Amino acid sequence: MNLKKLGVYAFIITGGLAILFPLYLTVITAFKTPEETRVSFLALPESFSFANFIQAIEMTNYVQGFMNSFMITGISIVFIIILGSSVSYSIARNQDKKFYRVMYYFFVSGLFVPFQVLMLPLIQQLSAIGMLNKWGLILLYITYSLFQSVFLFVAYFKSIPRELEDAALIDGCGVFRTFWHIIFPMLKPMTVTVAILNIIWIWNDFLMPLVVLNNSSDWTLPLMQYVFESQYSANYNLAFASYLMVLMPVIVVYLFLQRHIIGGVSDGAVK
Amino acid sequence: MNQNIYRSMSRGYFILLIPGLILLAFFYVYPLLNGVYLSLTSWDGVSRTKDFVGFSNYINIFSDSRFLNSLSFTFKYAIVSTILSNIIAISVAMALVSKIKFQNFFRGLYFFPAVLSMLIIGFIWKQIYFRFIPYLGEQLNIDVLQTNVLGNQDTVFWALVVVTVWQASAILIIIYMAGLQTIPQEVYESADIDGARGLKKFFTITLPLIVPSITICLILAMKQHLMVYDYIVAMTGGGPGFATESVTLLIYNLGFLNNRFGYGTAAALLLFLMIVIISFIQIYFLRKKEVQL
Repeated sequence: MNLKKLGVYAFIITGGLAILFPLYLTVITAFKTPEETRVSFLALPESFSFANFIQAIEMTNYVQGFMNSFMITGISIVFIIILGSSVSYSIARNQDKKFYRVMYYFFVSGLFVPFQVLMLPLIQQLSAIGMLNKWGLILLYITYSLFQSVFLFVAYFKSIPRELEDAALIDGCGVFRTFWHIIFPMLKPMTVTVAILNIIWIWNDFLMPLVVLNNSSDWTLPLMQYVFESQYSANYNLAFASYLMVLMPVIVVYLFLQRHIIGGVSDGAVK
Repeated sequence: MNQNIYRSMSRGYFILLIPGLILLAFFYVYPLLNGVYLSLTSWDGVSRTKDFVGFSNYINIFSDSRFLNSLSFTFKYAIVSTILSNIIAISVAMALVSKIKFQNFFRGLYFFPAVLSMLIIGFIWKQIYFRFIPYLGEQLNIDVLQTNVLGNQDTVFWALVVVTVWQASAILIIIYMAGLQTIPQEVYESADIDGARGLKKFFTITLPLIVPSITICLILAMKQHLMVYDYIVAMTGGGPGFATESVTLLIYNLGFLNNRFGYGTAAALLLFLMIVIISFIQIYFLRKKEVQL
């Protein structure tokens, strides 16, 4: 191995350690008692005690937060995929008509509009119709996901040959059945990408749940964490245990689906 | 195709579009237009009457030191974070695409921060700055680190930038890796024959060929950093004083805490305008620099 190669490895390993360090600190502190941390910050815990985790689960109402996050993410994703792909199908296959070309730009224009710009009037509007709850939040996720999913799906449609669906349409198979039985299965790679991008976004989102979810029984994991943060000032071992609990589902999924997630995100970004 | 089939098809296509159109009309177009209207009023967000005040919110905002401070902090933070995260991402991506062992492992490790909650990452770093950094400062005898860096006007900016770069580089690395892998090996081989070396090779060959990736990464990073909210809420709450009150936090505070709804909406629309202008400037300048093989 030459010197240049050695330099590359040194660089990559240093960077890797910089990424791991905060996570290492999170994991070891979560298992320690305050006394152990006082003795040494960086040492491994003497014994792996789950006391901090049990206390954090009870204190932050973790189970309910998890269920809410899971439900909100899950329901949103199902509709995001169905709506995103069907709207895109309609737009992509009618690019010879001016109306649909305008529609494309209309749907994609939202990519430039941050949520904060809509936030204040939107909250008034939702409050007026009594939708400051998880159903209102789900509708917002579905709506705002369309900007990106239409952009991605329409681009993907260019690579799907029309012969097969033309044959189906001539045979009298309507637009809906053609879409559902022939087109939708062919979209699978892009469907996976769209699902992954939106799961990461919705699961981790903080600002929208903060302004939309009025009732504590609807709170998602990040929001629960935010609300309970002030109570950790005395016990940061408990704080770290609680942070780790919120990150845990994502870490587990990432370990198993890493390759798909990275592929999905890079496909989504490069398009 | 037969006329009847054709007509029923165009009806079918249109029906597929309708649910999306309704959602966009209701949760996108209406609040946007309503926001434009509210920004022309002095509404507090609660009372029944909305007094029309014309453009005075937009005029007053440019002499409001809180808004100007917030704007200058947000831009400084976004520009510094964007530049640093892109430099780091290009360097790491180049190292990762060179023939190294465990490439997949390192790629997985470097991308990992991108899937984590920004709020939780902010909380974790806050604890690190609060407990671990002062401890490290004592061990190494560095005065600046011995106090809470988040409570200090001079250091809080860099404390936020470090966290941002730590997490934001992840997705940029993946995009740059994809861009670098499209450069054919022959281009480098012919450069070797011509005697191009090291940095010269980087600036004359690699960089021009990854301009499309640079465009994506700059726009993505800049937009994300101009909208910074989660880290600020998790780590500083906008403090010390108003030192780190980002524009998005200001919008939130004006609307929900200070009862200045109309004014907050005006600030939001100005931020929107800036993001659109910056994105187009970036696209315009980088398009020109694109090189086709």
